[in-house]
Amino acid sequence: MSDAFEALAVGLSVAIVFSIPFAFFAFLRYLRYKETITLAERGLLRPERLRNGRDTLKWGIVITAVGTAFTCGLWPLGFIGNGPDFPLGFGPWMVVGLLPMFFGLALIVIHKVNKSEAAAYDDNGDDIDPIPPHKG
Amino acid sequence: MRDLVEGLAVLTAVALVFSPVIGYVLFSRYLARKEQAALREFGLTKEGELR
Repeated sequence: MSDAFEALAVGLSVAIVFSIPFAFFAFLRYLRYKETITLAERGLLRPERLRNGRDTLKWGIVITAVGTAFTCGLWPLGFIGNGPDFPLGFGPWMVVGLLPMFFGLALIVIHKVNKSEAAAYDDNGDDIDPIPPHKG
Repeated sequence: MRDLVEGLAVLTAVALVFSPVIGYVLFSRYLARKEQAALREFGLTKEGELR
């Protein structure tokens, strides 16, 4: 019976910790909703965000930095307790840092690929007007 | 009986862990629906158009 209570306690604790950021995101979403409704009452629409790929780069850098910090902070665990059993003290707990680090790196690579593709497209079709003006 | 109680407890714990994510998604979808309805009501978007 105590195992059941332990499982419930762990689940509840994790849910409470998880619910804090999600409550914040939900609040931000609610504010955006109120903004949209207030603008709509005045006959206005919220301006579309300019999506030029800068968000990908920004979040890539942020997530890579957080992942690197986790990696640096967790690596010393490999030199205490049973950590030295793993090569270079690089145990499975490093996934907590490596996962966001490589996710962030992937975002940066995606930004670079998209940017180079856009540049190549601009170089090729800069002077070509896809819909030539009518002559005559 | 004890296994049953423990199994139910684990299932409840898993549901509790995922509940903030599911709650956020449902709340976000609800607000998006209300937003679309309001925009349609004010004549700012066409029927079925996604913004």
